[in-house]
Parts: sequence; C-alpha cells; structure tokens
Amino acid sequence: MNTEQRSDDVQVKVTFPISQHGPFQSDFSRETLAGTVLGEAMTHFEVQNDPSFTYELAHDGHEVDPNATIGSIAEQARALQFTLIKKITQG
Amino acid sequence: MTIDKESRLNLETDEPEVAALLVEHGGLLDRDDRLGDETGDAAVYWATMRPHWAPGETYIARIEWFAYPYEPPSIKFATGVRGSLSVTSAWPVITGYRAASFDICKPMCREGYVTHLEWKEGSTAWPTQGNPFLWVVFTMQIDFNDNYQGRAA
Repeated sequence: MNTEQRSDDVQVKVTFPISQHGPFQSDFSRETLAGTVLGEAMTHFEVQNDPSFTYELAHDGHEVDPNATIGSIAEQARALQFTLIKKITQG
Repeated sequence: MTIDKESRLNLETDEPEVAALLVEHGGLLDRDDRLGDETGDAAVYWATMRPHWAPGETYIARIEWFAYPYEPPSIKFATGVRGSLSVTSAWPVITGYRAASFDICKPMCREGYVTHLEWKEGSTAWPTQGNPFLWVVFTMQIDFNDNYQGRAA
C-alpha cells in the first residue's frame, strides 16, 4: 500500500459481495501489479486461498491477470473498481 | 414455494445490485410475481444472461430462494421466462454446469450441496453475509464472460 500519494496514482476500490467488511480502498502507482492489489484486498477481507477456492480480482465482468499493471487496466482513468471473486476450483 | 417475510425483505434489499449487474452485462432480472399475473412466486427470479463473447446468445436462469440469505438457491436454466426446465440446450457449456443432469455442481446452489454434502462445512459452506444473491449471479456472469464454451446440445 502506498503511504505517499502521487499525482499519477490510481484510486483503487475493491468490493467483495459476501464480506462483512466494507470496501478496500487505497491509492496505487500505475506500475503496481494487480496481484499486489489482490493480496492487500484479501488481507483486508480476511480471506485466503485453499484447495476449494482461489481469490481473483474481476474488472468489468472479467477476471484480471495478476501480472497486469494497474496502469494498463486503468488506461487514462484515475480511479479503478474491482470486485473480489471467490473462484471455485472444484465441481 | 413461498418464502417468509424476512427472506422477502432481504431479497428486496439485495436485488437492486443484482439487477444493475445484469443490465450492465446485457441481461435482465425479473421476479416471478411481477410478471403480470397473480400466479407468480416471489421466491423465484428469472435472470436473463448473455456471454460477453457471444452477446447474441441468451440464457435464462431460474433462481429459486428458500430462506434468504440462509440457504442456497436452486438454479436451473429454462427455455425462456417460465419456460421448460428440462431442455439441455437451455444450458451453457461451462465447467461445472451439467446440462445432462440439469444442475450446477458448485458450492453456490442447492443442487451442488445435495451432491456434495461435505461442502456444507468449511470454506465451501454457503455464505450468509453481505449479498449472496449478488455473489451467485456475479459468479455466473464471470463464468459466462470468461469460461463459456457454447450452448449445450
């Protein structure tokens, strides 16, 4: 998480529909990997991967590559909203 | 099936976010008792869903609640709103969506928990916090957008 906001940072908000916690919100540099945001969001929502589920970020209805940068997802936008998804690995 | 007043109120609180999500992805949410006659069931929703990469394909999911948010819903695909629930071609080909047995074998619906009793405990247990209705439909929409392989035969 950034402690010092820069002018080109992106305001990131992550929601998780089945959590008792409110949204995770923080500012990230455009070079930050989505996987970094995912990790911080999972800490915020107090969830962990296990053999049945993994957690991913979704943006605009699609899973997000954890190796993508926040800047590449946001493009020109200054704010970005993700949803944390609980991805079922069995079935 | 009718639902208790608490469930009905909880669903009415959560359904606007579900409806907004579906509209955002070219779909629609109908509640059965709002379809224009007096035979409808307030426990039943019809979610019109479209895959991102095949927007011309329309799927109708019948989502029936029993005690919301405490129990998972039954999810079946129909040939249309109030259509047949026993037509395999109404189902999408997505991992875990089993057209041949008309069920979704995932820990997010009644059918999945009936098949796998062990899912009732631990991380696979049905979530009762937040907006489980939104979680179910969002999970299905992600499946349609990223894991859709076509229409079942």
